[in-house]
Amino acid sequence: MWQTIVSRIPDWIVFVQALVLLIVPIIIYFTSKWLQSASGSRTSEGTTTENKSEENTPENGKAEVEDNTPFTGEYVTDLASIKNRIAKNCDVHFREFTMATGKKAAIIYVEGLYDKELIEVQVMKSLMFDDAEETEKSSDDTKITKSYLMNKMLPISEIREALNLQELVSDILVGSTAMLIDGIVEVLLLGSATGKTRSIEEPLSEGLLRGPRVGFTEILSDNTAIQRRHGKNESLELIKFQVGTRAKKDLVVAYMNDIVNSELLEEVSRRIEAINMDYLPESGYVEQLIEDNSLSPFQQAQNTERPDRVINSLLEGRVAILLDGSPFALIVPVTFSMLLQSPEDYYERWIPGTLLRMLRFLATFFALFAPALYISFISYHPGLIPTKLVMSIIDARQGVPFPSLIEALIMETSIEILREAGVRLPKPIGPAMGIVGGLIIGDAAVNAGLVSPFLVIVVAVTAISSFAIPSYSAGITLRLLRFLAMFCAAVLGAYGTVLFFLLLFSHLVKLKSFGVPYISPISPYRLDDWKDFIFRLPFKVMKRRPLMMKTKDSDRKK
Amino acid sequence: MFTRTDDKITTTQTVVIISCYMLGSGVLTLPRTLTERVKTADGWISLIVGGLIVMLAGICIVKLCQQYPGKTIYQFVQEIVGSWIGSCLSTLMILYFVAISAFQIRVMAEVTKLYLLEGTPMWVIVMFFMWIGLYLITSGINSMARLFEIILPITIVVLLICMFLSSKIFEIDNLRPVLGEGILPVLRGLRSTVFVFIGYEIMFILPAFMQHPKKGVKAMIIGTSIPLVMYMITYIMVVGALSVDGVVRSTWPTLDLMRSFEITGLLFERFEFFLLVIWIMQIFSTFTITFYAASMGLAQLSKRNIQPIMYGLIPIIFIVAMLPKNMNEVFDFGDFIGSVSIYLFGLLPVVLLLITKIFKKGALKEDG
Amino acid sequence: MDSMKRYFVFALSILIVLSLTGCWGNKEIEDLSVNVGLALDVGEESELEQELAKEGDSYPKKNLITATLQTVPVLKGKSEKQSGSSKSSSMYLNTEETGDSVFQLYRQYSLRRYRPIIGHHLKVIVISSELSRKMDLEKLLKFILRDNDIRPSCLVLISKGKASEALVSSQTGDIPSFHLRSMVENQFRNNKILAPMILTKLDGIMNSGSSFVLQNLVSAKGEVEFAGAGVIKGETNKWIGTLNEHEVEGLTWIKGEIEGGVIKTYDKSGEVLAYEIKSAKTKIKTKVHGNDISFHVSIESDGRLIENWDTSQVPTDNKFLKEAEGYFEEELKEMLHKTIHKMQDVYHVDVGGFGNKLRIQHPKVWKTVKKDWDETFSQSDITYDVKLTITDYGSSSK
Repeated sequence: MWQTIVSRIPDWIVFVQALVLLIVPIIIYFTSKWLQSASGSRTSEGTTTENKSEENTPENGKAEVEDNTPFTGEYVTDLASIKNRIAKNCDVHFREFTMATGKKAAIIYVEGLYDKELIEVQVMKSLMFDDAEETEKSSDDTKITKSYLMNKMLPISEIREALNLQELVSDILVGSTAMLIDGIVEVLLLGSATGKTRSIEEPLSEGLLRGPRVGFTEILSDNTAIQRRHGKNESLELIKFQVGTRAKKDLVVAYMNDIVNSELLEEVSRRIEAINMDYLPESGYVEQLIEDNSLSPFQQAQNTERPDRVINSLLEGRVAILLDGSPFALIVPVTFSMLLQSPEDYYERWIPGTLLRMLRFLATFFALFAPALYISFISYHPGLIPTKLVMSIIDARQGVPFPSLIEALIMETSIEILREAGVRLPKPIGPAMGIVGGLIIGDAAVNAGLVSPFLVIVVAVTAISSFAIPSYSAGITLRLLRFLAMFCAAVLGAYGTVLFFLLLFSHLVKLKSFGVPYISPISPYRLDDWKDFIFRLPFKVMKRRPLMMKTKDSDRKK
Repeated sequence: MFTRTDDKITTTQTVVIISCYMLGSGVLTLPRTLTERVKTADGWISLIVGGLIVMLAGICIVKLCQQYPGKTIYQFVQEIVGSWIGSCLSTLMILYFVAISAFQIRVMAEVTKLYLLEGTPMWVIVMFFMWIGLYLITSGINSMARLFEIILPITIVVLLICMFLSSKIFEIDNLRPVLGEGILPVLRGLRSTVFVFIGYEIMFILPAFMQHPKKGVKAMIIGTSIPLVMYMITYIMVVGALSVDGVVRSTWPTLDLMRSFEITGLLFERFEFFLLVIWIMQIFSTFTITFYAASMGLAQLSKRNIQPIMYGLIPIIFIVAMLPKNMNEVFDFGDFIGSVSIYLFGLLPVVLLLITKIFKKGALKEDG
Repeated sequence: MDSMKRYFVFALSILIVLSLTGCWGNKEIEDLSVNVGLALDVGEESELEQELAKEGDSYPKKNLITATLQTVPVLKGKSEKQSGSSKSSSMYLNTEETGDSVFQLYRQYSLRRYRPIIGHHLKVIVISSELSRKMDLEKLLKFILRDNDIRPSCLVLISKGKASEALVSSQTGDIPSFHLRSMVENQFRNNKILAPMILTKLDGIMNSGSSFVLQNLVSAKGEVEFAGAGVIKGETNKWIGTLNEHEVEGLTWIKGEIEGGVIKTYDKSGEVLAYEIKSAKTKIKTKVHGNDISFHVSIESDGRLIENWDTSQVPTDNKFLKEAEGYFEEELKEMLHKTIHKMQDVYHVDVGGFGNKLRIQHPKVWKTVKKDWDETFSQSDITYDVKLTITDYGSSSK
C-alpha cells in the first residue's frame, strides 16, 4: 500500500511548478497593493490616501495671518495695504476718483478682464455725477453708508463684499473690479470677468452628422447657461464647489434632483471635497482624482464636449461635473455600454440606430482581437483556416523574415506613431499625411518584403475599426489592450486569446464606477436595460430609466 | 453609493451559476461514456431521467439550506450532526471540490494540448488558467456571477449554432429505433448521466448568498434544465452523426463531430475552434466556482480569512491535477468523482434533512 | 521604501523570465508544408528509394506499404514568379516512402524535406484495392484515425490500379487531391457517385463489423474517373471485389442516396431514352416469419423525360409517357436485380443497408442475427417494386 502511495507522488518538478504557481500571484498581489497605495486608488471602504500637499500649509500660514486682518475703513491705509499686496503686477491698475458727495473712492481692476462698460457707465458715472440732487435733499450726508450706496447709487446686478485682503486679492486677479470707498469698511467687488472667450462651436473631438452643433466652452457660466437652455426644467440643479488649493477654480455638479439617487450625489460630493491638489487645469485631473481604480485601463468617468450628451445622461440619473476652464464635462457613473453609444443613435430612427450600434460593437471586437487572432492562426493553428487561404498565405509570406508577432508589432507600432503624429500635424498636411502613411508605407513595406500583404489588411481593418468608437478615451484604452492581446496570442495562440478575453472580463466585472458595476447592463440581467444596450428600441418601448442607476423616478414619460 | 447588500446574488444569477457549473467537461465526453453503458442510441432518455433525479436531489439540498438561512453547509452541518462528524463531512466536501477543480483543469489541458497547442508543456497551460481564475474569485461571488452571465449566453448560442451546422452529416437512422431494446439500457445509463449533472451540490453554498432564498427551488429547476437541454441536443447530434459504433471509438466525440465537416465558403470553414473556445470558457467557470467553494469551505472550517486560503489552495489543486499519469487514469479519476458525488451529495442531504425535520434542530422557529 | 523597490524588481524579473521562456510549439505558417492527399499502395520501393538504400539509408522495416504524400504548395523561386510561370510546373509535390508503420512513414518524410508536414488539411486518402485485399483496412487507417491533426472529414477512396497514380494529374494548375475531393460533390449530377465516405463514418462502420463499399477510382494517362465501387467485407475489412458502374447505380437506388442522375434505356425500337431523376425515395420493409427474413424494396421517383431519339413518339402524348415510364421501370428493375444478385450470390455481403433497416424495424430479431448477417442476408428474399413518374419534358414539347 505504501508503495502505491509513493508511486503516485509526482515528480519533484511538479512541486517546483506548484511553488511558482503560488509565488507569482502573491508577488502580483503585493505589487498591486503597493502601486495602489502609491497612486491613490480608492479602496472599497472609500478611504483615499493622502496626496502630498501638506508642505504647502506651513508656507502659507504666515501669509494667511496677515491677509486675514480686516479692512479698517480708512481710505488711505486700506489703499496702501492693497497696493502693497498687488501693485507689483503690471496689469493691475488703480483709478482713484472723488464721488459726487466728496468722498474719495478708488477702482482697482485688472486690464483685459474687467467689465469696462459696466464700471465706466454704471459705476463711475453714477457715483461721480448722479447723486448731486440726492445729497442736497438729505441732511445727514457726511457719511454715506454702504447700504445707501448699494441700494441707491450702484445700479449693477453683481455686488459682493470682501472683508479682508485675502478674499479681495484673488477676486481682483480673476477679473472682478474692486471699489474702495472712504468711510466704508468693506471693499465692494463689482461685476465679473469678461475677457475674450471662444464662441460656441461644434466640438472637434465629437462631431456628428445630425445633432446640435453646440459644444461647451472654457467659461463655466457659459456652460451652465447652455445646460439651462435645454428646455424649461425646474429639476436641474447645479451646485458649486471650489477646488484647487493654490488656484481656486469653480466646479459645478449638475443633476436632476428628483431623478438622481441621493446616495450617488453624496458620494460624488464627498469625493470632490476630498480633492487635494494645488491646481486643476482640466477636468481630466478631476477624473483621475475621483475615480475608483487608478490601475484599471478603463476610464471610470466619461468626458464629453457635447451638452446633449450631458443632458441625456442627467435624465438617466447620472451626475455631471463641469470645471471652469475646461470644455470637457465629466459624467459619472459610467458603464461599459456608454462608451460605445453615440447621441446619433437616438437622433436617427431606431432601425438604423440599432444596426449602427451593432456595427460599432463588431468594430470594437475587431479593433481588439483582430491582430491577436491573426497571430494565433498564422503561428499556431494553420489547421483552423480554410485550405485555400492557407495556401495563399504561405505564398504571400515567402520571404518575410520575421515571425508573425514581430511583423504585427512593427505594423501596429508604426500605425500608432502615425496616429500620434497626425494629431499634431497642421491642418493642411493632416489628411494628406494620413493617406501617405497608410497606403504608401504599407505598400512599401510589402514590396520590401518586411510584412505580408495579408497583415496589412488586418492592420488596416483594425485601425479603421478603432476609429468607429465614439469616445476617444475608450479608443485609447482599446489600443492598449490590443497590444496585450497580441502578446497573449503570441505566447499561447488561440488559447491565449481566450484567456485574455477571460482576464479582461474578469477585470471588468470587478470594476465599479461609483458603486455601479462597470459592465451593467450586460449583467446582472435586467431586460429593461437591454433595450438600450445593443439595440436601440423605439422610444415608445423604452419607457423607463435605466434600472442600474437606481433612480428615484423611473418613468421616462414624466 | 449603491452597494448592493454585500455580495448577494439574484435568482437569475443563481440559475446562471448552476448552469455554468454543470456545463463543463462533460460536453465533450458525455456521448461516449453514456453510449458505452447504454449500448444503444437511447442515451438521451437516460439524460432526461438523470436530470429529473438530479433536480430532486437538488431540491432536497435547497430545502435543507432554507432551514438555515444565511449559512452555508460548512456552517450548519456541525449544528446538525455535531462538530466531529460535521468537520469530517466538511473536509470531505472540500476535498471533493478540490478534486473536481483539478479534474476539470486536467481535462481541459489534455484537450488543449491535443488539438490546439501541441508543443506547449502542460504546466504552462494550467498555470495561466489558474492565475486568471484566482484573479476572478478574489472579488467574491457577485463578480463571478456577473462573468458567468456574460459567458453563458455566448456558450448557448455558439453551441446551438454548432449543432445546427452539423446537421449536414446527421442521419436520423442512427438514433432509431427508440427504445428498441426496452427500458433496461436507459437505466444502465443513469450512472453516467449523474456525472454530467455534477453541479447541483453547489446549492449547498449558494442559498446563503441569495437575495431571495425562497426562490431557490425555482432557480434549481431552471438551472438544471438549461444544461439538460444542451446536453440532450449535443448527444442527439453527436450520436446521430457518428452512430453508436463510431461514438464509442472516439475519445472526444463532440469535438470529432465538429471536425467531421467543413462548410466551404463560410468564413471559417472549420468550426471546432468555436466549440473549443466556449468549452474553455465553461471549464473556466466550473473551475472557478469549485475553487471558490473549496476555499470558502476551508475558510469557514478553520475560521480564517478567505483570501490567503485562496492563494494557498492553488498549488494544491495544481498538484492534484498533475497526479494522473495518463488518459486512462484521468478518466478513472473522473468516474471516481462521479461515484463519490452520488453518495456524498445524493444521499447526504436526504439524511440531513430527515435529521433536521425529526430533531428540529436549527434556526427555524415555531412562528417562522 | 527600499525593500519595496527590491521586491518590485524581484517580481518583475520573475515575470520577465517566465515570459521569455515562452512561444513553445509555434511554427510559422510559411515554414510548413500542407499535406493534402495520401495514397497507400502495396509496398514497392521506387527507384529513388532503392538508390538511397544502396547509399546506406536503411532501418528495420517490412516493405508492406508505399505511402505517397501529396503536399502543397510548391514554392517557386522569386525569379520564376516574376517571369510568370506558365510552364507545366506542377502545383503539388508527391513524395513516396516505403515501410510498414504509416506513422513512421510520415515521420520519414522529415528526413528528406525540411518543411514539416501538417495534416489538418488532408483531404483525400486513396487506397489501392490490391493493398486492401491483402491488409485489413482498419490497420491501415489506425494512425489516421488516431492522429489529432488529421480531420475526420477526410475522404476515403479505393483505386483499381496503383493509388499513387490517382494523385497525378496531367492538367496544369490542377491539384489532384482537391480535384478528387470536389468531384464527390457531383453527387447531385450523377447517381453513380456514392455518398462520400468520411473517416468518421468509416470508423463507425468498421467498428460495427458490417460490410461496406468505397468509391472506386480508375486512372489512365493522368486522368482519373470514378468507376464503380470496391466492396469491403465487414469481418475481415478486406477488399473482395468491385461493383461496376451499373451495379453502383442500382446500389444507390437501393440505399436511397440519390440526389440526381440519369436512367438511360432503349425503347422497343432500340432508340435511346433518357430520364433525368428529380427526386427518388426508397422504402425498405422488413418481414420476419420465424427464421425467414425477407425484404421488400419500394422505390418511387419523379423525373423528367430529357432525351428520346425516336422522333415518331411525342411526349405530349400521355400514352407515350406511360410507355416511357414502363421502359424506365424495366431498366431500373434490371439494375436492381443485377446489384442484388451480385450482393447476395457473388460476394455474400450486405452493402445496401438492409441490416440497418432490420435493426430499426425489428431490433430484437437483429440482435440474434447480427453475428453472421452477411450469410443470413444472402439467403433472404428480396422483392421490389418500382414506380416512376415522368412529370415533365423540359422546354421542348416535340
